[in-house]
Amino acid sequence: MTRRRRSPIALVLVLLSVAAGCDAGPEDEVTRITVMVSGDPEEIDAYRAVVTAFERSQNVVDAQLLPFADRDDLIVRLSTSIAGGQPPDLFLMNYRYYAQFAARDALEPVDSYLRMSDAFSAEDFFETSMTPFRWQGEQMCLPQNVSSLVVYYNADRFVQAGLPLPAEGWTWDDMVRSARALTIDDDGDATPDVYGLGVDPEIIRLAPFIWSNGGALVDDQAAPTRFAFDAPALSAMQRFLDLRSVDRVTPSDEEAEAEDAESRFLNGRLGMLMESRRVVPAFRTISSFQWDVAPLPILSEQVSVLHADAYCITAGSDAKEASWRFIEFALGPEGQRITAEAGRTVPSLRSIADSDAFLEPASPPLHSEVFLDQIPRLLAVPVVSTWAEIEDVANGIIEEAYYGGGRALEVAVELTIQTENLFARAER
Amino acid sequence: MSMPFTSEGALGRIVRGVPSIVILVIFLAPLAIVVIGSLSPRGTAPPLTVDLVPEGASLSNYSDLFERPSFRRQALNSLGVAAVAVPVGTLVASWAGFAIARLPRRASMFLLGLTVVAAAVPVTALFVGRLVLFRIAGVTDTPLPLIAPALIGVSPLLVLLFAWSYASIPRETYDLAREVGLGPLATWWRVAMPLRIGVAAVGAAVAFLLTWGNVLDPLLFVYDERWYTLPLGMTSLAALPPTDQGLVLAAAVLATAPVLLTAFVVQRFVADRTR
Amino acid sequence: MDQHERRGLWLMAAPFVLGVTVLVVMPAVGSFAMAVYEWDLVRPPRFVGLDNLRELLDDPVFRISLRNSLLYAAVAVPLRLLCALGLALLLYGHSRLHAAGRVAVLVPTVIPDVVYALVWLWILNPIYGPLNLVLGAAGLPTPSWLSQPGPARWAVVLMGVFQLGEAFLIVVAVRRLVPEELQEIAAMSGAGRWGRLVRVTLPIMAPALLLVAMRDTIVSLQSTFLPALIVTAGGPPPYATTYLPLFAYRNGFEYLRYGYASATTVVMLVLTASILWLLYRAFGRWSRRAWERA
Repeated sequence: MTRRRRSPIALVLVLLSVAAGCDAGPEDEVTRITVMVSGDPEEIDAYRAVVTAFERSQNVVDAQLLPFADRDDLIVRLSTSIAGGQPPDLFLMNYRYYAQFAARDALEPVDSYLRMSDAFSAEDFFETSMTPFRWQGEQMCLPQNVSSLVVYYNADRFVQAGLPLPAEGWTWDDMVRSARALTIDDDGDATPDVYGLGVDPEIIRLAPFIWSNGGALVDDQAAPTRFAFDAPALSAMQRFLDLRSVDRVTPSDEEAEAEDAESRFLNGRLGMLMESRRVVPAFRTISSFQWDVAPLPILSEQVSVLHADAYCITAGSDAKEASWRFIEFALGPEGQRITAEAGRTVPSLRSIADSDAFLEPASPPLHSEVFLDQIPRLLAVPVVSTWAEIEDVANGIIEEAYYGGGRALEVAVELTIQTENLFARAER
Repeated sequence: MSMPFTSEGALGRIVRGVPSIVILVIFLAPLAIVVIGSLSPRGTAPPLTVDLVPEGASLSNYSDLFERPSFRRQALNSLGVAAVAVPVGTLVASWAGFAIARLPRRASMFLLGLTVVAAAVPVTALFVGRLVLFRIAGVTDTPLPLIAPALIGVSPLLVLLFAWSYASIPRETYDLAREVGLGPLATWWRVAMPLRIGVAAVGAAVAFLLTWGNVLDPLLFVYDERWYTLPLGMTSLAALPPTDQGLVLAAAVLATAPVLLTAFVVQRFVADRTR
Repeated sequence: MDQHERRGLWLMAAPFVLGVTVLVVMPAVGSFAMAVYEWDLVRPPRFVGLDNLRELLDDPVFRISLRNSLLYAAVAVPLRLLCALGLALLLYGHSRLHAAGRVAVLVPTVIPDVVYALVWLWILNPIYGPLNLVLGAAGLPTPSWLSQPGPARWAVVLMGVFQLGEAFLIVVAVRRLVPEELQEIAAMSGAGRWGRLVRVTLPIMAPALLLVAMRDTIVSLQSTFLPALIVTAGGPPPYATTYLPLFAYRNGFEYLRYGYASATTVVMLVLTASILWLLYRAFGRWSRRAWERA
């Protein structure tokens, strides 16, 4: 019976896998490296463009992109592949999540490569984006962007409703007023079909408003041991929670579950969306309405939160030199120009950030300088090895309170208590 | 064999058939809905009504999928892994089951106990242990860890299935084989297998569906996109927005079709041979 | 049986024995040994003794996961068993309709698990999913399946109940083994359909049903993994559908605390064994006596 004979294809596959498991024999002319990234399809396309350009620019290193749909997937695959002894050579990760790998000596610091590099030097990058990636004195990863939280808005809807466009200096109250006017029930079924605002109820969205109100997030930014919410922090938190429970300008739990805010904005059913630069490539596919970006509204100070991701080389990589060559290209003028033009990044390289590649693209947003203007006023969340766990716990608490009508004081207490031992276990 | 109940003619038969029909509807309706949903092209607004034929129904999702090199690659990998794991696994399970059926009591109980323990150990206990093992052997990031379960017959339950079916062959048959001079392997091949070919077919089918649908092993042991199997590739589709659900459902149909086909073929095969 | 034959049989069993040793016994022992270490599989392991266990007992998320898993088993196992039994009693016959019914029941079970989970993710979408669309059209309430704790848990139970193919097949096979003569004797002494079911059929099936219940318990404590991972993502907050397997997976593979995850696994094993023992104590004698009486 055929089912007991191994098919030739299978035999070939087995042989291939055995071969793959063996070390490469004689010195290969071309070094292969793998680069792990995550993002939606348009973001991935931007990275693919960089890889293609890199390969065209030289013929000694062959780079393979390993894309993942979201950050959680990437972290699990990174962890398992490190544990499995087959880590990627490079990965792109946000400063909020790299520390658990740095603390475990799983990363190769880039200090020495940077010092000896001809392509660029540390001063060429925005310091704001470099600092979070410095771990215990060493520069662990090199940032690709210095993005931050901004407000994307549907310009057509603002104009239709006769509202002033969001601009520098606008306040939280301005935002809520506009959001209310933009929350519309078209078909009279008592549920809005368009919402004025979309924002994820997460700590990374809450933090800038706590700071904007002059409040504190943790007891010591440099060496945090716990969440330490003071009166201004609580007041900001309550305003944030009120967006759903009082102002009713964001989708309900059910509606958010059915369709995420990004998708709503893409389909023109959201007046404003708070997000980082990450969504621009996807939003550039919008053809049915005009959109732009504005700085975050002020509670009492103008401030926003840093969103930065960087390329890190794994300690287990056996092609570190080749990986650095890729970083030199991707984060040098050429690579940064590609990602800037694709809309994905607020370039970490000053020269590109100030250039037309970022500021005057053929596509929206027209006011990309908003991102640059926010740079001097950016604060970062603390960098500790257990921050991923802290965020998971914190986001659960915030989400529950947001949709359940919780009060700021209870949230603050829960957050402090439930993350106590996570901070205790953290390495800095 | 007919039921010892009186039938009341055609009406009685219809009434008694109602439960079966209800069951058919309940269990097959989701399948039907999935197939219908898969015809909804990408980018169309998600429907707020359950249409029998959605607007703009087309097979575009299917052609989309087939055009993706990653999808084709993943399907090929899944097929390749199955092509090795299913025959090997069925063989291993069949042999082990035969040994359990034929060995004297103490040895048989030992093997049986081993099988039961293997079936009861929680999967999560094996994640990390196997990861370390495969890493030491240097076979992570290859298809080898995906084929490895064949060595436990793909599932210990298959071993139990074979053991139970071979044990149900009358002693006299085995004694006859021994008298004729057949050793255990020959007895298995020329006596037990032919007598229980239906079970072997079912066993192979189960081995196939377990191997084909395995997502945990590729998730943990395979990191290179080139070796992804279909279920792993599909997990990335979970992030698609409601407007692209048609694509997810089309992928679901394609991933399920081989399994349903196998189940159908085996079911006919078995039905023809029993009673 | 002579030595030659015995050796031949052992040789045939050898690949399986090797497989179980290498793929089950060794990893299991290794995993359990890891429970007394703090290990991220990157740096060398650090011996912590019973610290992991102590931390587990203090960990509120662990307690929630444990409660969720136990609740799930307590609800899903009887439900699955009842449905499997009911379906088997309806569909064990040899007619074409019954055969078709049996295949239909098997469909959700044979579908690849990840496909099953993704399809349910779509079915349970509170606004666009077919389940709520149908419920709404029939004037029934449309719960927010994935954003409320209660409905989310019921969703996971529902997903589990539909996948009762394994139990169903076994119960069908057992039902067919019930001798028809006993049924006829009972019929002749005046027992009606219900009486025959309760006094003859079920008692004879009792030991097998207990075995199925035990197997189902083992399965239920693990089968929540993919649904919780893909469909509910362990939520809605706080941890409404975080079960023990997901808890172990997260701690191991997302937070790189493999020792802690292994400690969870040890607890899971002890839990499973305890429940099995309890089931056997509670029902073992009863089922044997019922069988003897029948």
